[in-house]
Amino acid sequence: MAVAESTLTEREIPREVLPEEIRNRFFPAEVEDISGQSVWACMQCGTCSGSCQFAQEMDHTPRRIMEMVRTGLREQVLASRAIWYCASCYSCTVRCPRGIQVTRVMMALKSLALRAGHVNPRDDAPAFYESFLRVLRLFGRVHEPTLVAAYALRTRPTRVLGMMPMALGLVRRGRMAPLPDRAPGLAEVRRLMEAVEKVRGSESAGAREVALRSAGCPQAVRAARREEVALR
Amino acid sequence: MSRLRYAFYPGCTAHASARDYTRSTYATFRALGIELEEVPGWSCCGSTAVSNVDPLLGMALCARNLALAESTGLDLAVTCNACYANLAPTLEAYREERRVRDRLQRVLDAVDRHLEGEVEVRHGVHILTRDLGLDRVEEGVRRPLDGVKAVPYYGCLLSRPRNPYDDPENPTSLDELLATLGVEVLPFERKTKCCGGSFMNTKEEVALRLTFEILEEARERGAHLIVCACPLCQLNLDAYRAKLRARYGTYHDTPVLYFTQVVGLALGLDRRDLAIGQSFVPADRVLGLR
Repeated sequence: MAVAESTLTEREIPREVLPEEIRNRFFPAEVEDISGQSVWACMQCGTCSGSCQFAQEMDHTPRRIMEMVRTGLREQVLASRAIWYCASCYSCTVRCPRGIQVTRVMMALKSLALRAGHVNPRDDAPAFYESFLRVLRLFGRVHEPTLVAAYALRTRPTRVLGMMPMALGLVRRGRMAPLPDRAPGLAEVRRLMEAVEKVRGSESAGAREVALRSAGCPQAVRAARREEVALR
Repeated sequence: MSRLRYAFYPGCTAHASARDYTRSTYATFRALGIELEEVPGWSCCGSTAVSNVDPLLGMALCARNLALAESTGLDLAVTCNACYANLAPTLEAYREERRVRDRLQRVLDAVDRHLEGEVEVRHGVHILTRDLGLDRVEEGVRRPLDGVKAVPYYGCLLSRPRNPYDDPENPTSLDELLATLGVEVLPFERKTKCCGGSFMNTKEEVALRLTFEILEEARERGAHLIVCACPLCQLNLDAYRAKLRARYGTYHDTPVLYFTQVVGLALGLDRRDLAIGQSFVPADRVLGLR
């Protein structure tokens, strides 16, 4: 199954529509690039959905998400609640008869949803993951009380009250570190984070162009280049 | 036989909520003649949280920690399942996926680190059951745990996405280890089911349902004890009993210990050195301590 050939020419596509059309066509390749997994290998058997402990909470099952990615339904996938109900338990991954690491596909989708700002504000998981990353940048290691505080401030500050019994329980049992534990190589960890940004930046432009070309979309390649230049 | 030595990656919870795990790991491994040397300069592996925000960064953090471990010349010992399921698959992808390797090498170059990919990542359970061997564990048993019925709880990430020894659907290494100590190991259908992980913070109702199902099965099976190998599993199964009672009307009093604590007890180590008293649900009664 291949991406449908575009019948539109550049002249026929209204300017404001073009970027979305590009992004939709680019979507499967974008997901493959980040996840390292071939979404085209999926045969839609539904083993992933049947293995998922969280499928009952999802608006689209994992099998459906895979097909929506291939169809280029970028907005619907990235705005779905399904991706945030993946707990990364890897049940789908070990059972997939096509060897697709569906968990890595889900991770790629979550990261794209965050970048695209598509996140459902009623879901607290994105805020938790982002708070985790923020604490990591601060100390190089994760300090649980700081993480919980950062997360509560971003979501519901009153959450802290509900967490007090648990926190006190940990303190009483000597299981709470009052002060953060700084990684000795913190400066290096921060440099590593910057290096990741650079590697990603330099690769996304190239990957995008290759993907668009293979999707048989020369007008989109040109538009993407224009967009790329405009962003500089 | 030469002594076993490893570079040890403690993970972020080691000096905090899983202090009991770290303490009992050092005590038990030392008693079995296994040396652990903390990886100098280790940072957080990113857990699943970072991989959800930025998969490349998640792998980059692991690659740096792997490079630090590799430079010690020792294999890497990991006890946290989440760290294990981050570090080992990153190493595998680094070895097998060219695109991943290229990207990670460029990132590592920027911080003057090098990863050859020769280091091995070993989970504590496999160090005891495979590297050391069950015979050696058995030789060390001074106080067999006869009469203790336990269910092994592997959680998601000890056997998935994969480990070299266990079937992801029905792992047995923890079963074998416990049986060696004299424990009566009960069958446990939910041994690899998810406890909800960080959903306990973000989607509490979902995580509570999953932990309830796990505790409920353990109770129905007649387990005195749940044995786990992951700090987050331990916390989720141990620390929310009051909430579970409020929600489901059942109170579960089955304690949840780390495998390192249980092995240590069978070796005859002191309960204080194993930090047995640090769990929310006390384990002393079922273990016949005190």
